[in-house]
Amino acid sequence: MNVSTRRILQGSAWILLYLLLTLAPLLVLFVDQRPAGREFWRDFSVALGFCGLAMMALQFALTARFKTLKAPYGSDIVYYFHKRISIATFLLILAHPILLFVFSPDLLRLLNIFDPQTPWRARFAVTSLLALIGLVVFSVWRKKLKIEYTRWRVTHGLLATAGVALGLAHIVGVGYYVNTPLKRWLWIGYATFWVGLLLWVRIIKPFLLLRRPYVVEQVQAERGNAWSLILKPQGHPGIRHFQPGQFAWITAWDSPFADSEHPFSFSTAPHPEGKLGFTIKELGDFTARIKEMQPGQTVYVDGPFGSFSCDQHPHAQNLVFIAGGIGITPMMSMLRTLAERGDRLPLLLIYANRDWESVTFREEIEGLRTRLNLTVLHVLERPPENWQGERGYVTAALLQRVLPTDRTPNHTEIFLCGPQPMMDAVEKALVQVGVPMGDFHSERFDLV
Amino acid sequence: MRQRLANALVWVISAIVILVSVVFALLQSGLI
Repeated sequence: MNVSTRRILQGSAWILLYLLLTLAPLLVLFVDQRPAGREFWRDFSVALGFCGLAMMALQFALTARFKTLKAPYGSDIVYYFHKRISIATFLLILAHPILLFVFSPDLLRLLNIFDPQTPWRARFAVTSLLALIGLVVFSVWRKKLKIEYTRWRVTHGLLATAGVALGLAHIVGVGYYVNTPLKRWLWIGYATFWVGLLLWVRIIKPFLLLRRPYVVEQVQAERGNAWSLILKPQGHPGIRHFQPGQFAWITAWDSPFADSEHPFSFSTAPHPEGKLGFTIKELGDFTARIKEMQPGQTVYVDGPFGSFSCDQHPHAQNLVFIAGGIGITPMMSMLRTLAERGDRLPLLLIYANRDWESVTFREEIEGLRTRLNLTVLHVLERPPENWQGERGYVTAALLQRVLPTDRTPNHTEIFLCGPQPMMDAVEKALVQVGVPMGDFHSERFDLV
Repeated sequence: MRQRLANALVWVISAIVILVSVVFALLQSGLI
């Protein structure tokens, strides 16, 4: 079985499991004893609430960084799916009270959680919904509300936990459809699974990271307002094996328990002493502080993650890297690794930048040409005078001209990383010039 | 491209959830 087939089968299996766990609260009702039915809209709203809560609990699994779960799709797309399915989940949950209120307006009185007559089950429901509303508002409009990333992450975790815990309490409090052992066990199973995930993510994983610290060995300025960071494992072997192009989560100036990690691609090749290199451009609060790091400073690294790597495609006859700006970092990891291996595969690097002076790793890439069978094509938005190379953007016309002509699936593997608008445009252009969809791979880091 | 597939998956899962919920409610209310 080749890699692509295995990934498709694995990916399909996870989707089926996700669907099964989402529908389980209803499926168990179909096979087990059911209490007397009520009117259609009421039971419809209850069904949406059940599935919605199951889906909300499953969100914790999507973001818990299980490598086997993310391998078939790539981490970036799992986070993208998490963002989208969370909105759908929220709408399904929201439909539950709305339908109840429309068809039984007398229930509106339960919204007053401060009324002593309001039962606790209703208070749980209202506060759960408020937590979920906060969760969606802070996530969808985080940038507009100018909520700093680390603060948002902590709030996000707390609101999600409160939303699910209170939702479960609401179901237990109502107790209508959970009154047989099978159904009770199902919800105990969900709660256990969910609490287990919380323990893993918030307690066990940070504790393991705390025991495997790294120290900053070197901080070096690069072209393009970027900084290269070399980290050395402290008292442990470190990450000696990763696939070039993968990424890790870095915690600096904080404990792993603080939940203040940021994802960055490795920019170096795997090192026998477990040293790790990252190259980070100044783009936000955290990245602007990288240059302030001092040798000897402790940081924590959780990784490697992701499937954006040439090592995932060992049968490729050609490799093409299309990078925009700091999107060069995973490509550098791959190029440096291939150079260390003495690989002679034909490689093409299409590297788009605003201007010649801000081309990160410009000199090193020139040097790699002598060690690899590498063709480099710089594309500049604002080229200097007398520039003989490509100008403007990476377009379909340019790709048609420079890409290997053989479009046989799995012949040429194309890796794309850069700013979102560039990636959207280049993905469309690749389809236009006839590249099979399975042969290009994107890495998107706009996770939140 | 993968984003489109992810979006499509969100729509499909949501549609299945709504459909199964409708069937459940129809059964419970004795309409089928």
